[in-house]
Amino acid sequence: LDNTYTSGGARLLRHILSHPVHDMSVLTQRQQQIQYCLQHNDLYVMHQLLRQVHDIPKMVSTILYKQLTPVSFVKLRSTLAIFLDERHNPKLLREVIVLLQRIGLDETVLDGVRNLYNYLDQLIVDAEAMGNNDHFIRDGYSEDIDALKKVAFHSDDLLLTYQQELVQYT
Amino acid sequence: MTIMEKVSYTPAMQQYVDMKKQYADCILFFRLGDFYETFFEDAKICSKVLDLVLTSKNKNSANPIPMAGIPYHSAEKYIQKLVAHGYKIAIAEQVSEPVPGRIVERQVQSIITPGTYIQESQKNFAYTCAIYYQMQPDGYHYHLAWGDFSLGDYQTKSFASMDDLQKMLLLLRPVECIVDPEFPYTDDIKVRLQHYTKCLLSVYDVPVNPDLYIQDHCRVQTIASFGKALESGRLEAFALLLHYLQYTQKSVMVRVVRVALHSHEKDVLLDEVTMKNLELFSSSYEHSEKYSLI
Repeated sequence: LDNTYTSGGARLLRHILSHPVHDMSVLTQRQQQIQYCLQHNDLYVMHQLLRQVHDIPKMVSTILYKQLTPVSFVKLRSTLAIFLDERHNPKLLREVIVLLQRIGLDETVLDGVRNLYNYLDQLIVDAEAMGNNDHFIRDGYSEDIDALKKVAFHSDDLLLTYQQELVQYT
Repeated sequence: MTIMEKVSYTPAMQQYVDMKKQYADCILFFRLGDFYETFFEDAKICSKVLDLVLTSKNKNSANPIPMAGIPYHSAEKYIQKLVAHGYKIAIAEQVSEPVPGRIVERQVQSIITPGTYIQESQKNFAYTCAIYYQMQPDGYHYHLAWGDFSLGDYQTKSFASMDDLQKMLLLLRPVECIVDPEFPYTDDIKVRLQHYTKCLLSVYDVPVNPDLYIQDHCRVQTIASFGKALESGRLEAFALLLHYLQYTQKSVMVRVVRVALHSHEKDVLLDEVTMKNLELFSSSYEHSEKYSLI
């Protein structure tokens, strides 16, 4: 049954199915929501956006408990951009913000998230280069760091080079 | 070969043996340079589960020590596999610089369990539960606190019978369950849960002052901030859960986003037979999640 796009959606579906309700008002409200979705084709755009939403609560936990990885920050920025980057789709963005405020998003929280997004946006210069978890600092930023990275992550190649040099000398 | 008390070990091995005594219920990943090494029974388990070559330390001695190692930079995939098999892993890292003639200090910096292993690709809940029971004028009451560690979202609920508690547990399908040492039905719960799901059951202590412990951890002035969620024995149940999770995380504070009292006044509490017939979590044919409803 699970055709959800986001982890939050998958969790909600699981909760709804494992906790069936007997309250008519809740059931009627759900039916109205489904009806609304069926009647509004423009929600297709929203669905496409949801495909790009990463699991923010889990990402925050990964950063907090596991390790700081560049990929987590890139994913966090790309997810927040869907809701906060006005370059994408200003009209849709305004609608999303109004919707989030309607379901209880506090203005101060929104400001905090905006600040975080702007900060991440400034910091992440080359998202593609940060796609590899080993590289917080992009290649070419410093020759010394590049040399150290070569030792740390490509030691097999380095040993082969040394071996070849040794063969030449002897 | 199991760990032997009277055998004289090298200083590093002695350090391992001492550490292993403290984390007897975990597989101890002992950092040695670029590797996490496991020894004795842990090495045999790792060799079997992770398909590693089982070697031995001091091969020529009368008592060679079984050993299996993994490179630290690829530890993640091995940890994931061990956790999926229901094991706990204690990660002992080197915490001092190597100095000639002195042993490197090591400390267990985290314990990874099925409930605390964070998998971003995992879409479902991975609940950890804590059960606390209490004698009240009308008989025993059972208090349950549960939550998904990776989400920081926790709930509590009390039950007047073991049967209702077990129904709820079957609905939640926890990956890990914690009970306090006094809990009398540990084996019953274990058997019933493990019939349906791989659930690791651990015994851990409720903190001495549960209310102060939670206040301090969650930085709140009073426990009343949580309303009914932490009234009665639900306070101890949540304190037990938090105490255990904090034990696994060592120095990193466990994130608590919300603690709420679970209310199912508007819900239908499904029983075991209904869940089974609806094939809600597993199919009746293969008993696997693959063909289940969700």
